[in-house]
Order: sequence, then C-alpha cells, then structure tokens
Amino acid sequence: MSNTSKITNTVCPFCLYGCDLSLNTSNRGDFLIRKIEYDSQSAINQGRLCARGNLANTIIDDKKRLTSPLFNNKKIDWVIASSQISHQLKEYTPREIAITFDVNNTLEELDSIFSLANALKVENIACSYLEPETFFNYSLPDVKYAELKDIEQAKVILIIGDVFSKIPLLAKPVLDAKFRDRNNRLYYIDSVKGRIAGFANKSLLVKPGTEPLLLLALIGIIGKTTKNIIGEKNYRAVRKAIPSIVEVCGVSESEIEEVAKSITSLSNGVILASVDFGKTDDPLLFSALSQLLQIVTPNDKKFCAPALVSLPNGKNKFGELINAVNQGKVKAIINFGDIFPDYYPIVSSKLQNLKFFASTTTRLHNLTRPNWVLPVPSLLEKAGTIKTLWGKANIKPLAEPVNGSKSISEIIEKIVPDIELTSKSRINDKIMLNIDEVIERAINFLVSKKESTNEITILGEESAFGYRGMLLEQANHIKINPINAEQLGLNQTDSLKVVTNTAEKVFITNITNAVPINTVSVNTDSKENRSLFPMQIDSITNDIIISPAKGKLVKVA
Amino acid sequence: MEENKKRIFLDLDYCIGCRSCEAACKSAFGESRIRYGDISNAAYFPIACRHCDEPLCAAACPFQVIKVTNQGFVLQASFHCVGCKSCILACPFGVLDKSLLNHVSQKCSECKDREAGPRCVASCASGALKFLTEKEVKKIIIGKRFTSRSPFWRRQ
Repeated sequence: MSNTSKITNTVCPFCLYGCDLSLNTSNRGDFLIRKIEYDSQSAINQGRLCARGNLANTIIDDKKRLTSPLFNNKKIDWVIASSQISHQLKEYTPREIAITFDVNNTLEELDSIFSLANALKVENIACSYLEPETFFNYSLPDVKYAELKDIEQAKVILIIGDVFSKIPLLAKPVLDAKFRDRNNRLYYIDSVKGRIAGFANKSLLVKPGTEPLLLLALIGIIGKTTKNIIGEKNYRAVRKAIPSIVEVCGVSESEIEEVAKSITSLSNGVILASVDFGKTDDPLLFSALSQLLQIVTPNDKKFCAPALVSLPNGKNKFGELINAVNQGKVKAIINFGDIFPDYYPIVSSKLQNLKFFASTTTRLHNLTRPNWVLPVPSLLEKAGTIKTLWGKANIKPLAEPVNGSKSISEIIEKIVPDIELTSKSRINDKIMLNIDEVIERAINFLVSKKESTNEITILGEESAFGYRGMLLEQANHIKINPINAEQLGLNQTDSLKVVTNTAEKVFITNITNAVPINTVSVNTDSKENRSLFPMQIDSITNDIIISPAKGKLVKVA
Repeated sequence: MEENKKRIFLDLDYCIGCRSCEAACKSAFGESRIRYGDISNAAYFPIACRHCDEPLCAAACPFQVIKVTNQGFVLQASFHCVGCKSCILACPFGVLDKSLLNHVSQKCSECKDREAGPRCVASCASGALKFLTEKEVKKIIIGKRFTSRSPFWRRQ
C-alpha cells in the first residue's frame, strides 16, 4: 500500500477576501484523502479560513457531482450531446437565445462566454447572480477604496450591514484595529441586531430596509464638505429631509450626530458596507449612499464593500432578460454557472417555458422544462484569474476535474468551432452614478417609506457558515420580537407559518430582541426561504431587486 | 495542569460566531468535535475538549477506550469504541456531542495528526481560538479581557 501526500496551493475563490487555500491530498492505497491545510505564513489570512473555505474539500468530493451530460434528466454521451446541442441551437434565431452566467467562472471563462455571445450574435446576455451586493458595481466618481492595511490601521470603522457574515475573515483586522487603542471607535448600522452589535461602541439599529436613509442623514449632518461635493441645492434638500428621516428610521438625531461627529473628527477610517438578500428596499441607494458617505467624510476615510463577488462586466441586465421572456421574445437560455436557476425560485419560475442549456457542477437543478445539463469542473478544479478586494489573483486547480466533466471553453468550442476570443469581460468594471440622480432617488425613497403600512416585514439574513446547505441548522428558524410573539401567543420553538405574496413556509420560533417590532428575520441560504421574497425590476437600471417581503404570521397548532 | 501542556483557549473578545472551527473539524473528521453555543447573538462560545488532568469521560468508559497519554492528551481509540455514550453523559462540560458517527462517539484529539496544532485554532477566522500553555495565557491576559472589554458584559 503506497502512502504519499501532496500539498496544493491556490486562492480561495468563494469570496473577495482572497485567502490562500491549501489542500493536502494523500493517497492511501486506492483511496484519495483530501484535507484542508492551514499555512500560517500566508500574507493575507495567515492560514485562517471561514466555514466555506474549510469545507472546500467536501465540494470536490461531493456525491452530488455530475459526471455525465443529462438530457431531460437522462444520461447521454458527450459526443451525442455536443452534436445535438449545436443542432438544436440552430433552431433558434439569435434574438430567441439568451446567455446567462454566474460567479463560478474565471475571467478567462467569461471571455469565452462573451465570445460565444458574439459568435452567435446573441444580445441578451446577463448575470444570473442576483444578490443585492452586485449593486456595489455601480460607483460614484472619486471613491477611495481601502486596502487591507487601511483597515488594520483604522482609528474609526463604520460598518453598515452584517459584514462579518459576508466575509468572516474581515473580523480579524477590524477587531485588531478596534482593540489597538481604547480611543478607537467601531460603529454599526443595521436593521437587525447582528453579531457586530456586540463589538461596536455604538449600534444604530434602523427600521427594516431604511439603512440608505440613515446614511443620507449622516451625509447631511457632516455639513461643510457635503455642501461642496453634492452642491448647495442637494445639500439643502438633504438637510430639510433629516427630521423625516429620523422619524422613518427610528433613530434619534442626537445619536446620528454623535456618530457623524466621531467619524468626521477621527483621522484614518474605513467605511465597510455589505447588504444581504431581502434585507434592504433599495440596494442601489444603499451602495451609492455608503460610497457618498466615504467621499464627504473628511480626514482620510476609505471605502470597502466586501460583496461576495463583483460582476466582471458591471451592469447586470437580468431585468431586461425577464422582460424579453415575458414578451415571448426569448425561447432558449444557455447558462454557465452553478447556482442558477435553483438559487432564485421566484426568478426561475418566470423561465419555466424556456429550453435550458445549462453547465453546472452538481445536480442542483430541479428543471421541469426541456433541458440539457452539462457537467463542468468546480472553481476549485480550474486555473485562471479571479477578482479579490485587493486586486486580481490567480487560482490553481486543487484537484483533477471530476471524471466526465468538460471545461466551459471546451463546451463552447464544441458549440462554435474556431471561436474568436474577445476580452469584453475585462472592461466596464464599474458603472458610474450621478450624484444629483442619487440624491433625487433618495428623497423619493424617503417619501415612499413615509407612506408604508404597518404590515409584518420579513427580512433576509445570511449566516457566516451557510454554504450550499452545509452546517445550516438554522434554515428552519425564524427570529421574532418578544412583543409580536406575545401577541400571537407564541413560546420559544413553537411553529409559526409565514405567508407572503409569493410563498408560505412553517418555521420554528426563535424569540429574540435582535429583530425590531413587526419584523421577522429568516436565513436566506436556503432556497425555500428565498422563495418568500418578491422580485422587482428596477425601472432605472433594469436590474433585479429582491427586497424585504410583506406578509402575515399564523401560529401553527 | 503542566506548565508546558498546551490547551485550546478562547479569546471571547474576538469570537464572532462564524463557526469556522466547527467547519474545519467537520472537514477533517467528517463530524465536528468542537461544539458551539451563543447568548442571544451577543457572545459566542466554541466549546473545545479541555483534555482534563483527570478526565471523567475516560473513567466512565466501560472498555477503557479513552486514555490519557504521557503528553497529557485525552485520546480515544475509536476502533474499540462501542458507542455506549457513557463518555458523552460523563463529560461535565457537555463537549462530547450526542450524535455518533459510524456508531462511535466523536472525541477531540487536538489534531495529533497535525504537527502545527489543532485545525480549529489554525482556521479560526477572527483569531479568537488560541493553542497555548497556561504561562502564555497569563501573559496575554485573556481572563482580564473577558471581564473588562468583552461584548458579553457590556452589550446594549
């Protein structure tokens, strides 16, 4: 029996932090044993990994990995599959085809995907990763982005949203900075009292979905620099709106002033922003106003939005695609990625009648429509370039691609032989926003929030440890305020049904002060929970917005 | 406790409840041997085996499967475990999980197969878990932090 072991190093591709990830592969007889290794010498993460990175080996060895092409859920040979797909695609005109891709692709693969769109003359190309964090691709001019050392050396840190859930590794530099000096300050803005509240010097807990308005109030209160940057007219409009914002957000003006004074006066600071699925009503405003806050705050502040991924081509045109489908213009979709359409039940229900050509790693799809599913290597088995918060990084394969899979470029070459590569994915990284339009949108948003009803709001929350259903015990739990629980006669662990316009689900009650009155919060790492949230198409950007849901609660006997 | 005997310690000020430690353990052994608890999202407690000087789990084991090594580790010979759960009931800290994996109780070995120390400590995302001797612990005043700046004692 041979006993050999090999360590392979790469950059963890699951978020933007860019951790060094090592895998120890040992060969005991006929068995391959893969264990994660932790390199304490690594510059970015010193061997530390979050739950997602720690479970990378289980993704490679996942029993659900696809090993053969499927046509309508029946196994089929690659040669037959390739020729039939090429043949079937010719049945559609370019306008009847859409191409979608998600974040499980390298930049080189995205080049191939864009080249395929060019070769087939397909104009409907959109990203199927519909998380609100993609709105951080919309940028204001002159935003200064933070490097890791800026976070480590910060004297004041303002966190908007549950950043530690999105990227747990950010906790180390943030807490190191906070504990370095007793005068250093950590402030936290969120609608649910999340894990960061325990570490913050002050937490501003706003009413559900109103984080952008609190940011607008902070921008207005900062004063002098704001006036110079947003202009006299906008400044007056923002100042005038502050009393209404205070009323809508539920945070007192003195508390907002205290935070504004502190972040203005302390030098070297960082503003960290992150937004969860179904947590805020307007993720574009969330993104724009958190950036604007960085621009107007004096004394060297930097901005960091640790979204799980950034879109390589900036704008996500998925809303345009849905419109085209509704009008009957699109009849087939070629999808490159793992998480779609299962991850977004509300969106995929709109695509029921389309023919699907999907490449994926695991049997995630629950497609009832006519479909092709092609096995591809996971990000852990690919070489190529990915983006991180600190620049681009090269990933290397930790293991051989799963037997029976073919790379995306191979699949594309089968569909269009001798394809000419473009480098379209490397441009248009950011889409610029206009300050006047942002302020106008914010004031309109304030007016709409003032008119809102007293219905129960269902918020989405991500967990730091939820990834593809692993370590996910809390997907069936719902957080509810003690006052609402008493009104409904609920005790801890009772069953509670949530009914929204889109779905209903029974949860186990978790009574906690972490959520405000008339608000409940559910974990959004589970697709059943995601189906509770409604989808809208933003009229200005044509992007998909998945906002907090309105609904009712029913006690289940 | 021997002076040079290393243990897993928790710096409560740094734990964000990300459960990276649990994932690291699960990834290596198939089931997590470190447990986790929290108090209303305000304080988080990964619960690791203390490798007691006089372990009650070893005393309760009817087949002497759990033994204390010369280096002070409390280790289990999994092959001989019959899954009777006596050790689980005996542990005064509730560290041993009730669920069995392959009919065997899951007992922390402080990753003795890994020279650099336990995987939960190496992977801890925020640096809250530390693998230290008692002397080193006193030097970095974890206990003082617990009572002075810990979020648990000054939550809003």
